[in-house]
Amino acid sequence: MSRTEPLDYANRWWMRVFLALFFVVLYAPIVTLVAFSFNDSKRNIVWRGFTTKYYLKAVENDSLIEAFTNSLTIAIVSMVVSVALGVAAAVLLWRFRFPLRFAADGLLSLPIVIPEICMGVAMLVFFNQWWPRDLAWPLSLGNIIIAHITFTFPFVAVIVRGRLASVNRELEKAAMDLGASEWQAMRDILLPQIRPSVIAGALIAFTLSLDDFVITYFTAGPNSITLPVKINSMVRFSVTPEVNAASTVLIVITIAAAVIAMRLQNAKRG
Amino acid sequence: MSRALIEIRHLSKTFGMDAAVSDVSLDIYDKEFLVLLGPSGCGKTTLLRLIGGFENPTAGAIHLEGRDIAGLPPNKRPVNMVFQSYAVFPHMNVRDNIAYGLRIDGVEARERERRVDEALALVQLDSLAARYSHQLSGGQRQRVALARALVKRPRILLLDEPLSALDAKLREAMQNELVKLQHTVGITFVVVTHDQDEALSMAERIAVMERGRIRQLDTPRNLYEAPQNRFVADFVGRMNILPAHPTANRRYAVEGLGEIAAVAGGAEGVVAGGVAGGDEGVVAGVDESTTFVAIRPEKLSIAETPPTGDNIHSTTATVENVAYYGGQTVLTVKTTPHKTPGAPLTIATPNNRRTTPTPATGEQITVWWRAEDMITLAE
Repeated sequence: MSRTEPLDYANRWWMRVFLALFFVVLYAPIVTLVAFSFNDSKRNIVWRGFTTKYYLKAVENDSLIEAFTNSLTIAIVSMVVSVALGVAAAVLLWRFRFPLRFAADGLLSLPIVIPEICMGVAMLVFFNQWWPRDLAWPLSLGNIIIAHITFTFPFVAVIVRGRLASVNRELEKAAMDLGASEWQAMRDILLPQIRPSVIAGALIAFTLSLDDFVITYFTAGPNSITLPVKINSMVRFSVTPEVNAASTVLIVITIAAAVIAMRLQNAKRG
Repeated sequence: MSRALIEIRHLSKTFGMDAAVSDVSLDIYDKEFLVLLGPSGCGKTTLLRLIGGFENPTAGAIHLEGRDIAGLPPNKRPVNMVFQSYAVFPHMNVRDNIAYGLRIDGVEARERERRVDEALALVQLDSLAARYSHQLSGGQRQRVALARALVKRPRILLLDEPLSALDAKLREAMQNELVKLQHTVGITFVVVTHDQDEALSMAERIAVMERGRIRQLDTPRNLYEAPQNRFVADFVGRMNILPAHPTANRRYAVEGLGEIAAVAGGAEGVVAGGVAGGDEGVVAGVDESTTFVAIRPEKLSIAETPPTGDNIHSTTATVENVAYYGGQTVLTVKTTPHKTPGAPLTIATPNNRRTTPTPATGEQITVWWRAEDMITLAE
């Protein structure tokens, strides 16, 4: 009998069954959620025919649209700020030697590993002390935006640092040797080198912010409901296809952003 | 060589407690090919980076044509550098790489294109102008880095270990190309290397550095034939170095060789065509500081009956090891004097006939040399 090559295992029936089960368990809930968003039934149990009316209903639901607008606003603003902070932190840690650099490096990634619930409670306590309650939109979203920045910008920094690790430090020096100022060298040479990681970091910050529930739940006030928080409160009454529709929209946006981010991260240098 | 283009005076650079460069004074002349040679950590790269503006000196001055440039950042110096990694910008093609410096300087487009074309032709990259770094070989990348620096028409080109990233065959070819290029463009080249063959074959002058100091600054020939101290003698080429005690005028007692004559190392008397004969170059009187005598392996010969003469020394020796290199055979021998322990010697004998015999290990041979080829060295 010949030896079994690693790839041959994919042809074994038991392997195929295992893989099939694996994907079913992983994706069945999501597929069901999406499928039933098109179900022509008030209750979510039996398939009664295809319809898109719940999407229209969701669009007509003002409070849902308001939550969606809030979510997008928060996600975009916190993405922009996270990218600025994250790239600056990554370049700083890569480029300069200063006291406590290693401590700073470690502290930077702490928000990634701290349980979200702890971050949520911490934010609640923090903002409760001084954050004004009756600000006008979009300032009313300010505390959520700040909370989101604190947990999204470390992701940007970590992703950009990963890319910087493979950037030749002599490139910037060569640019300066050829007459460029530090800013010109950074703009012309360093940024093009890390651009894919910056975009990938931005998209990850965007999706993390867009679908965050735990931290947002603790910081959101009555006038600053986001889509995940809104969906949560809708589900408390009943799971209608409208919820499915809203969730599906969220899934599509998130997956699209994640796919683009992954593609850019794997993009070849050059 | 007229007035110095660069005058370095009492230049020091310390990192924390470590002095990378300490109190270096050096003149670099216009259109000169100068090599900074030394083992790793000797400060040669730091010195180059100080000239390039990538380090600020702790003390001392660097004058370029009378102007102190020690405090200027790299982008304000008429000095360009070829980095060890070549640092070809990966997101720009060859042409854009070369044009970058001119674009920064705001050189007008037509003039820029003309100069880039000129630089491309100079390094023979015309046909590869549209390529990117990852589509180039190591040698081609180096030429991009050269063209990119030269297109700025610097007064001085600094090259940091320019050949270390290339394989042996290509390295030899590029040594010649660098020298040719330097003649063509007529720009001062300052090259850092740890490879003494590279230094000897390319340089007009070599500064040998050790622990932040220049131990000898000289022509390749003087450096090899008249080293001033033990470090230089040992670092540049192979050298038999033996402890010695001065006994009388120009005579030294050497364990394993007996009393022999030797001339002072670092003598001024080295002239083109060979060491000046007779007593020229010989420092009169007993040099009390002399602690070593030294001779190059290829200046030792083996013969059954050595020639006779006042200046010929010979000794018997036992062959301990034989290494055949094709063009030459290197013998490790131990002299066999009557009472004292023998001295170890390395002998390089040329295989200038296909039938040149090679002694066997354990064989007794006679080694001879000329007194003027034996030099004395201070520590």
